[in-house]
Amino acid sequence: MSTSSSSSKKIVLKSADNETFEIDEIVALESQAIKNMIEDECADNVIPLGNIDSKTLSKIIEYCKKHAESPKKDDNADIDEKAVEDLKSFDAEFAKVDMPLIQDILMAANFLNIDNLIGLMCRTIADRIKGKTPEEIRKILNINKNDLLSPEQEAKAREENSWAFD
Amino acid sequence: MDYEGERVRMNVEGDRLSSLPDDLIQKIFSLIGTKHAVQTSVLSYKWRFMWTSMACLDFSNVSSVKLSFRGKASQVFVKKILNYAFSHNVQQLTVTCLLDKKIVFPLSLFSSETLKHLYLVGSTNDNVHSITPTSTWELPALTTLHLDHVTLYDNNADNCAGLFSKCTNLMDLTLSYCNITTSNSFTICHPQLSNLSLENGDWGFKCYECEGFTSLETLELCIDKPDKADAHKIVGVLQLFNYVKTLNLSLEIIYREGFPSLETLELCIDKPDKADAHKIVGVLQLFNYVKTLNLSLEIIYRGSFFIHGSNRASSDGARI
Repeated sequence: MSTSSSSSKKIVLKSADNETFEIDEIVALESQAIKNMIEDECADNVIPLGNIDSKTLSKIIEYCKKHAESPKKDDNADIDEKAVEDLKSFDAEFAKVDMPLIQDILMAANFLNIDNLIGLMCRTIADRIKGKTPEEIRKILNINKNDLLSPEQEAKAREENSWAFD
Repeated sequence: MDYEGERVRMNVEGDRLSSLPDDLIQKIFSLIGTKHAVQTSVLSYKWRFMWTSMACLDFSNVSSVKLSFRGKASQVFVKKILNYAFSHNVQQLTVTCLLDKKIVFPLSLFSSETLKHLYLVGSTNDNVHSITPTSTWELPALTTLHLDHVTLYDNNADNCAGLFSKCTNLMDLTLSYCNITTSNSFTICHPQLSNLSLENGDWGFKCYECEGFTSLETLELCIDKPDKADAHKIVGVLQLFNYVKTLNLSLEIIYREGFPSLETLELCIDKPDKADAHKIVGVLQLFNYVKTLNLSLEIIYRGSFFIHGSNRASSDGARI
């Protein structure tokens, strides 16, 4: 997938649907879980990710590449500011995907232990449901009609904490 | 995406957020805030008690507190809640005391720079006025005060002094089933007052600064079963508002027989408009049996002023 530097070490990730992604090691190290595997030398040439599908994995790699490339904090302050802005707008664009994919990315990021990405996905979910009515949130989260409370139960839930529903 | 990938996604359709690891849910809850997190309890069965696992509840954005309690108002619990409310800049406070016997409410506790709306409700059992505030309230931001089944003292005989005197921004005052027991007179002097409701109860008060009520828009008097004493009370109250420039007089008196004992009624309105005319007629019809009617309209009303029917047949001397 990535060929940015022929001299750097490559890591191959394999998705649940058996698609392989070759990435620079530096990109893979954005994942604390993969980093640990590499450091413990228990990573083979190909790392199988049986619970992450290719669509989700390619998004995650896109994120890790951008964040791995962006300058770290010890650099010049001017570059820092520009890079931070650049990364911010990248994150904002990156999060413009549908809820199922966001949840897939969050679960995968949690599995791969990519802290920044977990934070970004949680913030995105929070922003989408905050201040919405229960009805709107059910739609956003795709909550099954069979899982709904009965009107009586919902009334009781509201009564128990009526202060939160004012 | 091949068949395998499709299957992986299909397995996890529906509300998957609720199946997230606890620490992720907590993270999302902490981002949406305590109030919105609690609101998720109505989403579905899975969400019903999810918020209760929150490790940290943050009430710093609470703007309204409702407190119902039995027992002494001085108990630690009540003090704690009130202190919490005031220290967190709560804007609306509702305190309901469910006790049957009289208690003295230590309202020296009621001191807040930010409180805008205060509802104080005593026990509604019979005629027990269970809350008796004892000191002047320092609530400079207060705009709405609703007292229900409360006994009021006004210990300070000075003009403009009294229980609410330091609530200088009061706009909406309701006294419902309140017992005002004072040897002198109870003073309400709030230039910005725009709504005043007096509903049942004993309002033995006078206001020395009637001119102060320049903003009063609505006056509501409501008495369930008025008797002779009430009639005088109503007249007394009406007289307080002689100089009000705009007076929307809305008498919601559930009493169809008029006021057989009322002898003198004085009504004075500075700049009446057409809407006032109808109101005045409405008021007059309530006082069928009045003997002396003093109706003083400061500016000659140019529109038509019809009084239908002659319900005032027993008005002996009507001066307009």
